[in-house]
Amino acid sequence: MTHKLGEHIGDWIAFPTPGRVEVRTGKVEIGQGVREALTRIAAEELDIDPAQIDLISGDTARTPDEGYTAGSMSISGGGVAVRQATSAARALFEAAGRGEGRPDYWALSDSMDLDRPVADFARPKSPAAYVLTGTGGGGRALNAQVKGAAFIHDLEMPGLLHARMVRPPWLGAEVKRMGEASAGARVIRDGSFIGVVCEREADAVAAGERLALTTLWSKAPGAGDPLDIIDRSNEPAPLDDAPISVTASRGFIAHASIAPSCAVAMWDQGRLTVWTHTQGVFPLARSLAAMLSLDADAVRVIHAPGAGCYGHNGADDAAADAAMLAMATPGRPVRVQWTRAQELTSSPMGAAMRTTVSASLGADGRIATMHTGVVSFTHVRRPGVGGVNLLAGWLRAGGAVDPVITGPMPAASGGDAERNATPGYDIAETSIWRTIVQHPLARTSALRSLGAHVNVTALEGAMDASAALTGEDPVVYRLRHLSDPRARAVIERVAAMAGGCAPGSGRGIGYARYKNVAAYCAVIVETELAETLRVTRAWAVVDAGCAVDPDGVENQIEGGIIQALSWTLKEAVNFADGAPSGAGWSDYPILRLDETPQIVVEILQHLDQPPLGVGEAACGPTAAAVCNALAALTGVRTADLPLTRERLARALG
Amino acid sequence: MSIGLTVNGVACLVDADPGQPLVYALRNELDLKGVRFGCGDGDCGACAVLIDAEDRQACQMTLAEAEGKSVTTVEGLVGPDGAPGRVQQALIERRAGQCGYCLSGIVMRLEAMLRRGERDRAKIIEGLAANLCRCGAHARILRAVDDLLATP
Repeated sequence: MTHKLGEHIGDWIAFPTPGRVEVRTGKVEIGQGVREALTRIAAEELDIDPAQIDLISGDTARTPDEGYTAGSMSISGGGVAVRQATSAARALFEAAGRGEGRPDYWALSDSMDLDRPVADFARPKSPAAYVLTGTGGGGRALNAQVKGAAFIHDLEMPGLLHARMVRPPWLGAEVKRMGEASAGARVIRDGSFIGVVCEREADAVAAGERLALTTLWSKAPGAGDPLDIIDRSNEPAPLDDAPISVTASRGFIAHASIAPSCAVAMWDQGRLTVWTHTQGVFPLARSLAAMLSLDADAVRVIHAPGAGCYGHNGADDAAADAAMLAMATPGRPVRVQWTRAQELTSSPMGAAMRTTVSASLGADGRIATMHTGVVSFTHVRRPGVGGVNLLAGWLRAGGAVDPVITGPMPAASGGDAERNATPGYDIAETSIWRTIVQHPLARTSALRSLGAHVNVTALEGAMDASAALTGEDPVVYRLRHLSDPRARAVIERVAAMAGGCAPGSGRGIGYARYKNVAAYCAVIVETELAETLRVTRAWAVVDAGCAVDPDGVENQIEGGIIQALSWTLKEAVNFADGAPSGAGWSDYPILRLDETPQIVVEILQHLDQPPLGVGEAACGPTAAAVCNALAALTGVRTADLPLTRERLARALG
Repeated sequence: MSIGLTVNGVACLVDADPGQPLVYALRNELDLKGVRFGCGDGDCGACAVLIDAEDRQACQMTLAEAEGKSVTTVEGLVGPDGAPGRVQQALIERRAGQCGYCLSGIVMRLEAMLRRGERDRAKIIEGLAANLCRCGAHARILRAVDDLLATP
């Protein structure tokens, strides 16, 4: 009888050699620390040393299909799955073994049938018995990286060829005249999809540069700046005559990973194998099979770590590039690596959007009605979501751009553009209006926290503006609207840590429960205004339920704060001649180490509660806190992001 | 044409295009994959290495320019027993990274500054501003710097 991979204990765990345990997960390491947390969970349930575990992750031939590693669900979903499966394995061995304590897995494993349902045997430990869960220290996590451990960029295999891509200057451009690559370089072209393949990497780099310089493309149609569509889109006026109205907006945001996207692919005897830093090996495999008209079981996709990933970046596209090139070089693996300019301009972007929150107050000073209007580009354009959605599939001859999904993502997934547009406060009457705009030149998809970055900024701005109108302290005012004790606890604690954020202090607060179902997070920042707005200190409190790896949770919150500060203070992709402009980092500055605030993070630990996703929880509250601090400092409320020197000068007159 | 240089204390002859950026020669000819390619423009610091005692970005010089020099990479800071070097150890203890891709360059930049005898925190942070980190390990990296400065 067949079963769905993941239903049986043996899908997750094996005891191949004495002293070693193989644990398989569909979730992948994207810099969020999931390997450390999943290893700990498995070791905890099996009562073994974490160093005995070999974690196999993201391989369509070996691991369960757990969809995308996204939405802050690595631990709340993938971690719980590993806990169930490993606890089931232990229970099975205990039943077969004799005596007390940990069974001798390796002595018993030959005679053990692990092809049994997880659900029938799962018996996770009581939190009171935890030894590894919720304890400090993440010492192992970086041991290998600081010594030069391999990323996908570093894979070696016999006969490896090196490739670079030549990209059209704008989406939809056609080749007017093909240029020339250097001698010895093989040019592989299919419509507007162009790559060069060489034996040596330095030769591929030179050939790619030469071909890019000498190829002529059709001119952009002059379709204007995609951002104008947001400006022109007017939501219907709120029903009541709302005294409070706060708008937050941002432009397009680049993923801006430190490494350019990379992939390796091999086409051999009718089978395609692809090594990639994708967030979803199974959805990518299905999209590649569809794009290349291959049988699904002819495509194997294997995850290898890339640099930090914060959403749907160029990883899948690079995998598709490598696959297309490999099909033209049978029997030889091809490694493709993007240029920095390609990484910044041909990856999907985080969506530009604008959110307006209108509120009215009751006689008691509390918010009586709150209306949220969201205008946004799509946040939902991953491979396999509504289409193949791989750049190579769009560029090649006869390829067409997959349509944009404009309908909302299920509320159970936290929504997309309207993520966190529903206030987490006790408000009698709320409503949301949402529209998705599109533009042929703007390719957007999921970036960390989706709409929550802007929505929480607008909502928390409205909370502060309402507090100011009633003359109340912003912390006290928020607490008046919160009955959830866990929400109250993070706000009360962060206020105590920072010593409050009274008006005029240059401090601001932001709070949200991510997706209204994941981690609770409250952030206070302290700012200084000189030539630019500078954040000098930040305090954050997070309730992630059971924080399996507390130092990992802190790391995610700190990183979320820094990245959100960078988006909020500095980042927007500029368009020129129909395409994202910018050849390098000087065109797209991000927050540097000499702009680092002091950060203090505290976790409110609840070992007896389910784990709550934490990776994206700090983004909205941090941006909100910055805008609220600016208002506290200057009396001017603006959230027209990014808060660059030029924009501040305009806003502050 | 062969280029002679010393890499992590070992004399090497590299038989490859001398005009190629050093970053590719180190990674592909000498298999020092700990040297990371980030931008190729000298803007991100991911490929920083030591050339003699100086921190340089390996994408901004050619293999030929390294001729006769001593090159040190993250692999060269690891002890014979596999023990991490002092800067590596400080970053491990603070878990000062997430993906870790930027850390090779940060390790080498810090190592160069410490070897120069730099003990001024502000100057060290100014030096680190040449290295980009996107995961946002900034505050942790600075805590590791403080630990290093607290060690005589």
